[in-house]
Amino acid sequence: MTVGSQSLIVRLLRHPSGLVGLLLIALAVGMALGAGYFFPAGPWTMAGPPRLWPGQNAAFLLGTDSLGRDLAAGLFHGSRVSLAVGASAAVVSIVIGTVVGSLSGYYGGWLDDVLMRLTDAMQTIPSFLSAIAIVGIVGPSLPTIIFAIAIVSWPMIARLVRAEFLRLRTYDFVQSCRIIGMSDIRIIVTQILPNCLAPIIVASSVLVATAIIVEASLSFLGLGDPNAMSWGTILGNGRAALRTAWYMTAIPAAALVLTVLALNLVGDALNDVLNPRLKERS
Amino acid sequence: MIAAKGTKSPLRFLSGPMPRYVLRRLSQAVLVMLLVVVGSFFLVKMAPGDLVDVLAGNSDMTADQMASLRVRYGLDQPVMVQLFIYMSRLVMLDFGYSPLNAAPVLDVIMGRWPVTAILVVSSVVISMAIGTVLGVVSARNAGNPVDLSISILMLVLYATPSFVIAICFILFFSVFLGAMPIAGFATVGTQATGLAYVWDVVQHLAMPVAALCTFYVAIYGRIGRASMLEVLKLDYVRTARAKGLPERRVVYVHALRNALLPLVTMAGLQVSALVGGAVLIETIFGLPGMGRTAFDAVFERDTNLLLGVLFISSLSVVVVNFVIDLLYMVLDPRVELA
Amino acid sequence: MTPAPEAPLLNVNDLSIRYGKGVPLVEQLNFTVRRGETVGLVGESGCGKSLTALAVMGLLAENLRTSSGSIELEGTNLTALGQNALRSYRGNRMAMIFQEPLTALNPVMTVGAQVVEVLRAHRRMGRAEAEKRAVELLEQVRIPDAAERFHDYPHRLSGGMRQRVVIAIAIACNPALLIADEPTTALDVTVQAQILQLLKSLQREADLGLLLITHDLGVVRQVADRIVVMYAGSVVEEGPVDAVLDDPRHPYTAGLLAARPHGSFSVQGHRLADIRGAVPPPEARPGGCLFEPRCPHAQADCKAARPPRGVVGQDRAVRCYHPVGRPN
Repeated sequence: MTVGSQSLIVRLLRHPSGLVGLLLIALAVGMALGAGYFFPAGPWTMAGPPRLWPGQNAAFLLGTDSLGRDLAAGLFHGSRVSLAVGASAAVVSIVIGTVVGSLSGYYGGWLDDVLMRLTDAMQTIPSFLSAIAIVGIVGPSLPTIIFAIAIVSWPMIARLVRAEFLRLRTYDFVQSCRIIGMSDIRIIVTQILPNCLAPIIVASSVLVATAIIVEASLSFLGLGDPNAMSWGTILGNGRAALRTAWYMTAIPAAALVLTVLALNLVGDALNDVLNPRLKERS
Repeated sequence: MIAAKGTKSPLRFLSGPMPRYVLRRLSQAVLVMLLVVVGSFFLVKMAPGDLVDVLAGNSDMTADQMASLRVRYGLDQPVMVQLFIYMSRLVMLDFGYSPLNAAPVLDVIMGRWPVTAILVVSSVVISMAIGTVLGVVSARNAGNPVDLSISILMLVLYATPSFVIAICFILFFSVFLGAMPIAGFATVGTQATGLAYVWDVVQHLAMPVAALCTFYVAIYGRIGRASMLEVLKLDYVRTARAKGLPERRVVYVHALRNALLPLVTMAGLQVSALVGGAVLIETIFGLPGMGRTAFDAVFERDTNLLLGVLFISSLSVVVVNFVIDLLYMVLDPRVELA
Repeated sequence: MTPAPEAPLLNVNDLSIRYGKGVPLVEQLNFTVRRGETVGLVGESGCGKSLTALAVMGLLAENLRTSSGSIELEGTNLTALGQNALRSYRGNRMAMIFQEPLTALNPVMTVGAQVVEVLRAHRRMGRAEAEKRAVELLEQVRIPDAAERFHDYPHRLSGGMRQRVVIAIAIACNPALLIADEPTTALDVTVQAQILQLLKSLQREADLGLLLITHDLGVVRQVADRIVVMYAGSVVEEGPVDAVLDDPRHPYTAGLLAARPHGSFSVQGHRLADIRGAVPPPEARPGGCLFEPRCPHAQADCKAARPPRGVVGQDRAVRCYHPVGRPN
């Protein structure tokens, strides 16, 4: 995607936060992609003696957990789950939010009222509570988790998109499209939506970060998919051994924090690059 | 803060457009709560299996017994009828019965609600206070190492999930230092009353509140910094300096009073998330609050209890949002009700 | 207004302002303001007139400094004072009002409170006494129903009323010098006249020295006694208002006067005379006369060095090697 004279990626890389953030994310993605290559046995295999500290055994650089599973394998395979859930939940959330927000902002009137009340209701129920309720009731599986996270996250996107639509629909280029008889859907999708992309893109990084945290929290509480090991699962498993083997918690926690940090940094950089008017002068 | 004689009094709200505003907010709230009730009801009904299945799983029951139990609980009716019955009972504050706790749902919730309330309110107040201080210090030192270190700290706190912070606290304060109690609201079987009891509770809540706060300290700190920097550039701050006022007054009375407004708005937006975050913290620290209750209710398929918790949490969010909106109106005299 | 024979109230001497060690934005500025006198400081946007005013008040942004010269107010060199000492002068012996009244007042404080604030900052006054005095000041600036307006918030007042409040705050502690930076530019034409009249009458009542900064020559003609014309960070001409505006000596002043639209709709065919070229940015100023690149009368010696300040008549001076107009 080209913004101005330089591609977005290039401009991000020039930004200090953007650079650091993108590098860290690349690391995480690399881990996800390379999991199968480095640890073909998967994270569930009880490969070695339990409760090995990192560095004690060359075969298990990051140690093993209470059941003898390789923590490094868990970290790599876990990145797949965490990143995949994060990204998918964000995508679904953006789709739902954009549909609601664009219809609401474009048509206004009673449709806007109804949709906004719905959004209010979704934002009133504490989101983590909803997530627990949905996952707990329907059953913990990856699709359910993704769906639950998306359900609680779309209101923010909807409000963002609605605000942009309210602003843009009064512009002359929209009026001229109406005059030449363009259908509403075409106007929404081909004319107004492309102009909303900047705030959506900025919000998406925060969305992915939030999704990753919610998924980790759910897994930590034991509501994660029992067949998928994510960083949150490893954290949850390590809780019982906190006193003596706290590395089991520290390692996935570090991965989590760094990934979320990276996403936030990229989000800040995206904001500075895409919204130069709002850039903080300090 | 200047309170000149005859400052726009909060009492101005008792007449004029205020009652209409309250009515409007009330009707919006009712509509929202209606949607919440209907939504959560249908969600709960999506569960594979119902209350009777759970009860039957815990003890042997014949099919006949299960069928008659269903009739007794009204679970054999069509869903819409069940919904109607539920809502009509709700209007009379009858939330149903919780088999898990062998008590009416309302009683269970009323017993657990204060814990969550204390957790949430203290977190809001403490995180706003600390966040504002950090934001102001950051803004006044903009560009130099103090600002940089505070900004990095806030970035890290923002990125760290609350349960990770909670575990770090537990690890450090309880395991290494042995200084703080790990779980519970107060020492089990304590006979203490009065101030001693309060101190016991404070000790038990210190870590949970601190863990819940860190994320919000980061949020308010970042917004506070941005807001202060923005305000310090505005014309009226220049006027205040041109008057020869002491710098402290310029910063705290003129700039901060205005910079706080976005923070109050943000606090309103964060209430819902805060209550959700409390769920996690309560579970980790074993606090007998609503969050833990909801969690247990989900596992035990105690649908009445779950619905009750969802309802009360949402209601609390609505009420707190309303209070914060009123607070904002008092703080910002430019807000006039149409 | 006959200038008093004693020392001037404000004496700006060879003042230069720059960003750190960079190029000077204002170079070797010289002008004075006497008690009871109105000096109009005119020039285009970016010529440094507002910067000069901020320098007098000690309100320059952190990265700007007065690199040389002095600013004397009632004999004291302000550039040698620290912030604490300057603060006792600001709002007290010297005051400033700015261009945009809509944003000049704190929106969450009543206007009365903002007047009381400056009184209590510089005078030992009890609250009740300060409030009483504040109402008197609001009346003095011709705000109707002053006692009630006292409790109003700024957003309830019109632009003209807000500017009056700003003026009340400025004169509250009886300053000797009042600086007004484009005080009427943001106001309606009818309100402009009222505010200017108010400033003049306040000046008469208190024998104030008024430094009026503006780009509007019409305002200067109405209100000022002396005019100081700035271009690209330097004073190019100064003198009594009528003398300078009727018979300008510096080509720039002459160009400004000629560039104003004149005549009526029925007069046909007059092209607006403009000054060709553009104001050079601080980094690209010529080494000789600042105006030389655009001057229709430029000659070879104009490129050599900055022209010195030369007296060209009763109380008039100009920086030009070849002044125009009728010589005395």
